[in-house]
Amino acid sequence: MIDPSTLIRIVAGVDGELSPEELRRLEQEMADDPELRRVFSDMLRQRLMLSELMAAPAPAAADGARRRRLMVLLAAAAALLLVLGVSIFLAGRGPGRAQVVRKPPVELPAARLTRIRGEVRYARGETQTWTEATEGARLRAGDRFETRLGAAVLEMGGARIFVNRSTRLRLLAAAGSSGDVPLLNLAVGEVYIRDAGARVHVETADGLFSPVGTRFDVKRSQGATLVAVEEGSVYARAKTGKAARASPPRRPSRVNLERIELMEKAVRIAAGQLSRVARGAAPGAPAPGHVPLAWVRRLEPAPARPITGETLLADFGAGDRSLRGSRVKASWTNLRFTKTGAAPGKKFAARANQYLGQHAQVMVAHEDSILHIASRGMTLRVRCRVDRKAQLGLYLVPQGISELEMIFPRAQSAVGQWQNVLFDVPDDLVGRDIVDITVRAVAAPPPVFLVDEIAIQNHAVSAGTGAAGRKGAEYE
Amino acid sequence: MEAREYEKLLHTHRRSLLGYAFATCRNFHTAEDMVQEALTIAWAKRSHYFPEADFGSWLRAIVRNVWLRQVRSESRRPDLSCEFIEQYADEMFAPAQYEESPWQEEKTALAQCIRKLEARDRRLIDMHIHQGYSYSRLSQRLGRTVNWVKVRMFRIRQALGTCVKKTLEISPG
Repeated sequence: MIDPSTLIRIVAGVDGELSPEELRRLEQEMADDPELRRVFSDMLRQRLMLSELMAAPAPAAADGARRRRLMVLLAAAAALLLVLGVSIFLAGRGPGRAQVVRKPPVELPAARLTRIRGEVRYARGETQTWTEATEGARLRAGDRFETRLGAAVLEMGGARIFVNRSTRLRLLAAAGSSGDVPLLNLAVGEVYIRDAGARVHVETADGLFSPVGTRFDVKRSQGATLVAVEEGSVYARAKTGKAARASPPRRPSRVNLERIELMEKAVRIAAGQLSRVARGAAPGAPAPGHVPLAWVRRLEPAPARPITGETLLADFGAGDRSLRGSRVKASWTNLRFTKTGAAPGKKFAARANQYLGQHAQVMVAHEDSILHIASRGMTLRVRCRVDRKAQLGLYLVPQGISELEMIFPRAQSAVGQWQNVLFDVPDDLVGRDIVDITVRAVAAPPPVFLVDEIAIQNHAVSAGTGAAGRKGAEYE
Repeated sequence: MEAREYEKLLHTHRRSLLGYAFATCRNFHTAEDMVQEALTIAWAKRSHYFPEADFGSWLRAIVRNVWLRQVRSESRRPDLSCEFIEQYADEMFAPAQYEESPWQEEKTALAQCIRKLEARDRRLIDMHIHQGYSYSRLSQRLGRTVNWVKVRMFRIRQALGTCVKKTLEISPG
């Protein structure tokens, strides 16, 4: 007969609740007594079983006959519900009908768009109403998200999700063993995830990808999914050939991971490896390799670096049209933003040295030269921070441009031959890190904008000087 | 050995290996990850397999190495000593004890028995096993002593064990 206090210690030992000394003592006792070892082993089994049960509240998916029976029952129940639903709806179409109680949407851990480049849109749940996404927009479980030529960064519970262009995905909550976990249902395109403990799972039509504290890239195209791991590791499991849909849609915002029909074999993809996963086949053996992630770097805030004549020339090339007229010399140093008005002496103001896809922009100002904003492509972006309620002014001299479109977030969007533009900054954008204004040349020939002034009213930062012999405009 | 047979063999050992991994790390998710990694390694090294060897101990050695590597990277000490577990591993983690069919039967019975527990006890094991509350956090949360939690946990597990036994005895087959 085993002493109850020993049994209590065994259970606590199995639960990992004994101090190292207590554990050593228990080990010693178990080493001497096979009966104690048997009890320990039984308790360990029971504990494992409890963990399995609690980790998977739903019945296993691949349970052939039982599942089929269940499906028949569910189909019958669904049909009945549909008939009932239609009758109730028809009966209740008059005045005084019962209110429909909607379940609140499942909340993902603070899913927020923190960076947007180009056109990105989202739709709530199953609706077909697409909304143009703006930085700061919050997304919920069940929302669909689409980047066409744009790209975006989404932050969710500590994880940063970089979404490449031409990507369609849906945010879902997955019922995991310890509550809901974020699940990205990637229909097509590419996402790169920097996972800081949030364990964002990715599901494609080919399989399920579960990270272990990691950085990884998932790309779905041409009937297969390519997974590349940069740090940590990812477990990849292919879907069975039967699983025809990308995600079980019973409740569009939440998915039970246990119900996704997966093949038995999982592959662990370690850092520096990639694997190709296609539905109905075991994942390919991980092989050393990387995928190009330049697009991720473009979505990250540009690291602060000194602006010099040299860096400008290196970025744009001495013969580049962007710098024509500004007579940039490699020897120029200490270039910096200046306050509104002409930069004194040889001060040189540069701003918005950014890259936007294939489009490079630069705004260069020198007291003796025309401030240039030039674009190799068609889109110019002005970025700034507005600390107080302010008006933002631009003076553009479009050359050879028949039409310009100015898009200010949630304020104005207009097409016209703009020269003087003055925007009221919406209250909710004041104090935000970055406000983007997109200036899009609607018609060619090649866009070269000569900008005389960029002035942010009531704000210290501004770049600009007048053209030679012409004072830069200011906006009151 | 054919790849398919080898895979089957790995599958046979998977759950007992999970038991072993769980005994070493005492965390279900870590144990699952460790086993997954060990099986991947074992799969990659399938050309090293020869039938005369004790396959179970070879797999356990892989899990142990995975665990030790993890412990080292986190600069901490393992709980149960590896020597103790290894010494009695054949006895405690024999694949026969973890065979799929009896395991599933027992698990179904356990699920039924959990439903029969008092709501307070159900909540207690849910908080500990599912939500990861330690005994001391549970005691703070419930306004009880740690010793009370220890005893309660033992009673719950004992009740579950007895209930499972009875359920399996009366269920046909």
